[in-house]
Amino acid sequence: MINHAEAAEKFNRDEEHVNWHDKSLWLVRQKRDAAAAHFKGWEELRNLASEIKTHTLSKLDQYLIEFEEQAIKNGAKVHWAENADEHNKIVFEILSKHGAEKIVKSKSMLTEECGLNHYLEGKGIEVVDTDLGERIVQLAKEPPSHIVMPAIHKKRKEIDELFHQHLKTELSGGDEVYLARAAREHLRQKFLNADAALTGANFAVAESGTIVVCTNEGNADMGVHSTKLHIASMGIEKIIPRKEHLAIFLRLLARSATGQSITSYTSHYRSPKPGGEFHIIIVDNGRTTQLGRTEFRNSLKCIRCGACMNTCPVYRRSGGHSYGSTIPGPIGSILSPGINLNDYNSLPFASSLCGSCSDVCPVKIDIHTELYKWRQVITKDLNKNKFKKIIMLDSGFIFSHPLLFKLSGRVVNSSLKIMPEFLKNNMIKAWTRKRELPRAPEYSFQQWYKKNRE
Amino acid sequence: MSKENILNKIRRNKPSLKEILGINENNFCEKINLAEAFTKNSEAAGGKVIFASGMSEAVSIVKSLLKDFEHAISLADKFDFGTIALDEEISAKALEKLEAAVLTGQFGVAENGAVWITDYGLPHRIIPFITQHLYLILNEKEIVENMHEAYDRLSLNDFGYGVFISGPSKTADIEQSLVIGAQGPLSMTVILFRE
Repeated sequence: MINHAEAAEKFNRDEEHVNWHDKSLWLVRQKRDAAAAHFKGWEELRNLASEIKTHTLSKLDQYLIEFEEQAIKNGAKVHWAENADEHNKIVFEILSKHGAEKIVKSKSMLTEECGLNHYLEGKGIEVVDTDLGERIVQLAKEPPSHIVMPAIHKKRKEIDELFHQHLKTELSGGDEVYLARAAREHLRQKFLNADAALTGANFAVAESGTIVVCTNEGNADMGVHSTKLHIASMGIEKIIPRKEHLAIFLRLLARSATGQSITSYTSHYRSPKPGGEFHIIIVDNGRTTQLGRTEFRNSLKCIRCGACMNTCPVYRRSGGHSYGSTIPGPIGSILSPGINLNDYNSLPFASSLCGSCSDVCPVKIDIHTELYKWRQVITKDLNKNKFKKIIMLDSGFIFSHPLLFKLSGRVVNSSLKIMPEFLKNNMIKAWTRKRELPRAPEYSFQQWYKKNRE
Repeated sequence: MSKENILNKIRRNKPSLKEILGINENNFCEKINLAEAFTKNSEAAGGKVIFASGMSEAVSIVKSLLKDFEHAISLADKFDFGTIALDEEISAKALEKLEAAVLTGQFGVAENGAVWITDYGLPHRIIPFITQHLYLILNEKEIVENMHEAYDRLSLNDFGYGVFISGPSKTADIEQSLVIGAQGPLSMTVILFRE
C-alpha cells in the first residue's frame, strides 16, 4: 500500500534538489503555455480531441474490430490480452518461437504497468530500455518517475556514476554531451545485436490498422528496423477512428508535453518489413472496468503527455516515485485507484484540487473533479485515514447542531493551545509537519459579543 | 476467447453512442508564409535549412556537403553519388558505418518543420535513422500549412512504413539539458529548392 505523504517526505529531504525538480517542471509547463499561446484555435482543438475520444469510447468495440481486420490485412498478427499476465505470456511465446534472447524496447508505459521487463528477465531474456531516460532508471534499478521524462528525478552526478559503473565511462562531472554520446554508442550496439524490438503505441488508427509512435531520440525506429521481429503493445484506449484524427492529437501531444510543435520522429507502422514479422497486442488490464465507471471513464481519454504532472504543485514537489504507481501525478491518481483501490487510496488526496491539471489537459479530462470524486468513494468505502475522516465528516454534523457548535468552539480554542506538539509528534504527522496551527484567540466571537453588545 | 471477453465487457460498460464531430480546418488556417514558417520551425527543432534556387544548385550543394564522407547513400533522383552499394538484401549491420544519407521528402509541414518520408524506394527502413547525418531534398512547392492538410494529402494505405521527421534525434534526459544527437542522426538538413 502506498502512503503518498510518507514517500513525498523522503523526496523532500534534499531541499535543493526538490527546488530544482519543481522549477524544471514548471519551465516545461511554461514552454507548453508558449506553444499553446501561439496557436490558432487551441481551445477548439482541445474540445475536438475530447469529443473524438468520447465518440471513440462509445464505439470502442467496433473500432477495435475494424483495427484488427485492417492490421491483419496489412500482414500484422493481432493478439488480445485481458490482463498483464496474459500480455506477458503472449510476448514470451512470440519471442520463444523466434528464439529471441536479446530485446530492445522503446518507451511503453503499458509494459511498465504489466511488469514485462521483470517477467522476461526471469525467463533469461535480456531487455534493454532504449530511451535514454528509461535506460538511466533501468541501470539504477528504479521505475520511471515521469511518463515523458523518466529520469527527471536523477541528478547528473548520479547518472555520471551509473554510466561509469555500467558503461565504463570516465567520471565527467555529469557532462550531458559526453554521457549522451556514450549512451548513443552503447545503445546502437544493443540495437544492431538485438533479436526483437518492443514498442508501445501512442495511437492506433482503426481505418488503416496503423500504429503511430512518437520519439525524439529515434530509439523506437532504431530498434524496430534493426530486427526482424516487432511487437507493439497497446491499451484498448489508444484507438482513434481515422487518419484526420491523428492530425488533432499529434498537434496537441508534443506541445502539451514539452512545448515542441512535434517530436523529431512520428513513425507510422503499418505492415511488417520484408521478411519480418509485426505483432500487435491489444491489452485491457482493467481498462474495461474503468470504462464502466461513469464518473471516471474520462480518464481513458488520456494521451500520456504528462502536462498534468508538470503543472501539479504536489507532483513537482513530491516527485513521481512518491505515487508508487506506473502513471504518477494527477492522471495516475485517477487511473491507479481504478486498478487497485486498496493500494492506491492515498493518491487522490495527493492534490490541492487547484484544477491546474484540468486546465492544461489536451483532451480536457476533468482531472481535479475526478480526484475529488475518488476521495468521496474512498472516504465512504474504506475506513482509512481515520483522523481526516473524523474532522471532515464531523464538522458537517457540528455545523448543523448549534449547541454542539458552541461547545466545539470552546474545545477547539482551548485544545489549539496544547495540540500542536501532540499532533506533530503523533497521529497526523504528515499533515502537520509543514503546517502551523493558528494561534488560539483569547476569547471566542460569541464570548466577545456577549461582553460588548448584549 | 480473450478477444470476446474484452469486447463483451466494452459493450456492457461503454457510454451511449456519441456522434463524431467533423473538423472545420478553416478554423486552424493561419495563411502564413509556408517556406518561412517551415524554416523557422525546422530550426527550432534542431534542423538546418539550406535554400537552393533550382535543382542544379541543390545537386551541387549536396555534392559539396557529402565530399568529406566516406560512406554515403543517395536515394534522391539526380543525386546518384552514393558510395555504398545497395540491394534489397542489405542488413542494418551493413549500414552501421553510414555517415550520410540523402533522401527525397514527399512534402513538408510548415507548422512544425516535419518532412514526410515513406519506405517507398527505401532499400532499408533504418537508413534515415542509422545514418550519422541526414539530408532531405524538398521542393518548396511541396509544403503544406499544418497537420490537417498533411493527413489530407497522404494515404495511410500507400506505405508499409512512413514517418514525419522534423529534426535530428535529440534528448534532454540528463537534467533537462538538450543534447542534439541521441540514438538516431546527429544532424538533419533540409535542402529546400525552388523549381
